[in-house]
Amino acid sequence: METGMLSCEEFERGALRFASVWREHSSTAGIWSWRQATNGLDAGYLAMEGALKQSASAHQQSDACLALGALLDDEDVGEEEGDCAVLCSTAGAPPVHLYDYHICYHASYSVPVLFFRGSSRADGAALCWEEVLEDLPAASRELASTEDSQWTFITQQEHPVLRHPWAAGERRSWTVPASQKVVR
Amino acid sequence: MGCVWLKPLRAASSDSDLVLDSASRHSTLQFQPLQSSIDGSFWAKLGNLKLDNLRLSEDPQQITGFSSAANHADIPGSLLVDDRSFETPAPARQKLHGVPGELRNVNTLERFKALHPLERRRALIQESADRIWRDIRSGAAEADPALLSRFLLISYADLKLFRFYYWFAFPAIKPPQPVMVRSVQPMQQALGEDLSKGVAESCNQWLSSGGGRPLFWLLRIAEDNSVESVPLSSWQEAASSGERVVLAYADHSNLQSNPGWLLRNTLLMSAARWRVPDLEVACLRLRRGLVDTAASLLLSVSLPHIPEGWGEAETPAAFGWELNSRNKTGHREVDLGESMDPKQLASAAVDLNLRLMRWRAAPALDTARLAATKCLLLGAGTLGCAVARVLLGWGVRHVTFLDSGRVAFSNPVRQSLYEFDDCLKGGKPKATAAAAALQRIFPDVESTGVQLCIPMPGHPLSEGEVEKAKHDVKQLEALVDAHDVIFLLMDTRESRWLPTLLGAAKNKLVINAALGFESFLVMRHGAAPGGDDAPASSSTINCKGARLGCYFCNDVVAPLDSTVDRTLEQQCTVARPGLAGIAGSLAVEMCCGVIQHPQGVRAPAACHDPDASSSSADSALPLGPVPHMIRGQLGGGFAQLCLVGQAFRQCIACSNAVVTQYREKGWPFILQALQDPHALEDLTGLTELHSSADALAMMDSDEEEESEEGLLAAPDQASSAEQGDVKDDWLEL
Repeated sequence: METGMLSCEEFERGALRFASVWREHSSTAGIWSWRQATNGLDAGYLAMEGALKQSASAHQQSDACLALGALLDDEDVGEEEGDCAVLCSTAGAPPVHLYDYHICYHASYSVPVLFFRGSSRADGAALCWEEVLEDLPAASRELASTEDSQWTFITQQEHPVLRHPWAAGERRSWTVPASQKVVR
Repeated sequence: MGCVWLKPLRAASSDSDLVLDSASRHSTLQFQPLQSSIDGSFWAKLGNLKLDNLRLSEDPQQITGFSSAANHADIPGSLLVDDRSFETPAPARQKLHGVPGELRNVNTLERFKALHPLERRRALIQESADRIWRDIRSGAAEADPALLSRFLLISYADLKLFRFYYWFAFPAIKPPQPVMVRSVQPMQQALGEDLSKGVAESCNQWLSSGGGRPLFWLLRIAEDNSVESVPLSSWQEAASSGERVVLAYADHSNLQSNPGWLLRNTLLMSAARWRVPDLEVACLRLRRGLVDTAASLLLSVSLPHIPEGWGEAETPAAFGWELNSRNKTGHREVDLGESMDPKQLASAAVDLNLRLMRWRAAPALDTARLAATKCLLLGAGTLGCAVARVLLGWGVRHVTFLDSGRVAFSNPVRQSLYEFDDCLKGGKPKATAAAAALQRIFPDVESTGVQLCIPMPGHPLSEGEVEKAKHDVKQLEALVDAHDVIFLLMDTRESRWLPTLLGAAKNKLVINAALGFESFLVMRHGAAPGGDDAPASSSTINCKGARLGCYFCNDVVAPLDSTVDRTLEQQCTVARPGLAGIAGSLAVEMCCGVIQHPQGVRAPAACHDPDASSSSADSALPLGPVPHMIRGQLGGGFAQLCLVGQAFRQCIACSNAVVTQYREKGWPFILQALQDPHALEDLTGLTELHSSADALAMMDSDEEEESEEGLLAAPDQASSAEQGDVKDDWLEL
């Protein structure tokens, strides 16, 4: 255990225990569920999907990066006439981000790996790395920016169990970006 | 219908827990707009549907949206559409409430824009509102409350670029007068600890006892404060029972005093069908998936009086086009290329795979630099194919092939980028066939093929050929300028002269690979000359500091036509088939080692330094030190040697004299060299060297074999250089 390395069986036992402890003590974040690998070769993995996070900034990536958007916005499409029953105070609310988390066993390194990917809830667009960094807790953000930490770091990586694309039977099989973010 | 509904007895109306403060009593109830959430799988499904079924049809498609109650203090619920939105019947999903919608996907951006003007949008939303109003009046909405939340989605899907333009509308029919707030309080406070707990329990049970429960249902609260959840269609029975009846709503709003948008049509129905002046609504919000009594609201409202015949002739006006992410009236758009485009996925996967090396093996590896390197491959034969494959492996994105030949029937088995079909009808030009193959393997690569014959010294040009040669040289110069690395992968020695000179003159990295039958040579050329080169007779060759030699540096004759007086097997490169893969791989590894080296093309040759003083510096290199030249052979025991040799001051390809002449005179100088290679010998002083060596040989005729094995190779031996048998004075390490 001193090396931080686990066997596949140890990982599965630990993961199931972690999931049950989490269920007892977790906040609103969601629950972890165990998923078997479909190929019978790889270890299974823990998954928590669709966790919501409100972006810290009102930064909107998807609209800004589209040249065609400006073209269409020049159109005078006309404002809706007054509707006194619509609440406008939510104007400018920061966008909501959706996160999927997977804790997988990395067979080559014999370590658990936390994978996560973020997307915009509104339009499903994958978050860019800068947006993900903003969403990270301060300690993790530091980890992501340091180059010299050799054993724990955050980087983008392919999913070791589902590889790519995600295995059939996964609902979002095709949406998996190669931009899986990984924390070891 | 004309039924007269009884106003339910509101047992709690005089209780103190229903606070009717004067401030809220007369205020208009405002609703939090619903946020749409569109998953990428929706567009993928739509794409398949268009390809297989819809094709050019723009008929409206019936889809299902999935509304969710707020499950978070800061984040409202949303209306989700995804790939399951296309399933019929609408799927039942835990914690999600299916509502019917209509998708109007158009085929062009122009047609999408044509839906934008206010009049057009009003007409569209009114169509959906008509159906809602009809369902309210007929009672269908009571039987199936999902009909109250009918929505509309207009879209244009650019399935080639994976860009999607869309606009949701959640029609809310405007009542004759606005709904007024009587009171709004957290449910826990409004109903008290016990009753609110009972409500939560009943609701949780109702919601979990079957997937796909509607957004709206009724709570019957008996005298003894027992709570029962019943469907909306039980209104009449519940209201006439004398019990307290509360409308329950799985509320997407997370705000403390405003319910969600979808309640609007249901309140209108309550006013129009049930004809109640007042109504209590439990706006249920969740935490961790369960109804939370502190977060949920108990809302008491005054409903407008709906006059007889109101809305009979014409559906009242409806609102509900969603604002875009900038809070403007306008459509939304999303670019999902990054996650949907298989080409972009492949490209990202290749880069990620390379970056794995940075974990432990090569932390300082600069993969972006490799990806940005532009490689020119002169020769698209066995070596060219092998080199291109390994370059792809390193994530190189820019490869240009140059070859004058066509794919022959014997090629595909040895030359890994060609197939049988490429040989048919006289054979495709190799350069373009190789470029196309590379793109099939990895679509993100920018590969081009140039069909060109490199002008060679010793191959005399007819008058008509001079113009063509001039043009070809010009094109080759431009290609060398436009690339970072030049690979010499041809099958003759003399064709390497011009690109060697160009590479030296333009200070490009030149990687050279040549095959014999069972031996190979892989080397890199030194940087542009600076006049510090070693004289030919230099006896001590220092492997550090000095400029490294080129392919011609150990030759003392100018290149001549090596194809004359050769038998067929000598003219074609007849080599053991595994050799090209070995040499090609070494060539690319050498190239990448130099690119990652801080000194680039001036990187000193790797050598075994007995002092080992350089070992710490070498270990800091991302891919370690790089040798100057590797010679290997399969014949005598699979041996491989690393050698190093300085640039030769009198080299006919890379010496200062030749490079300076080329830089000053350009094409006329090259033409002279092509027509009369011996002029190069005169220029570099080799002619002089020859005569002095001849004199020397006359004097020491007894030892002539030794001297010929040494510096002064006989012309016929030197001309077989491309076979990898160059007699030389390379320092063996």
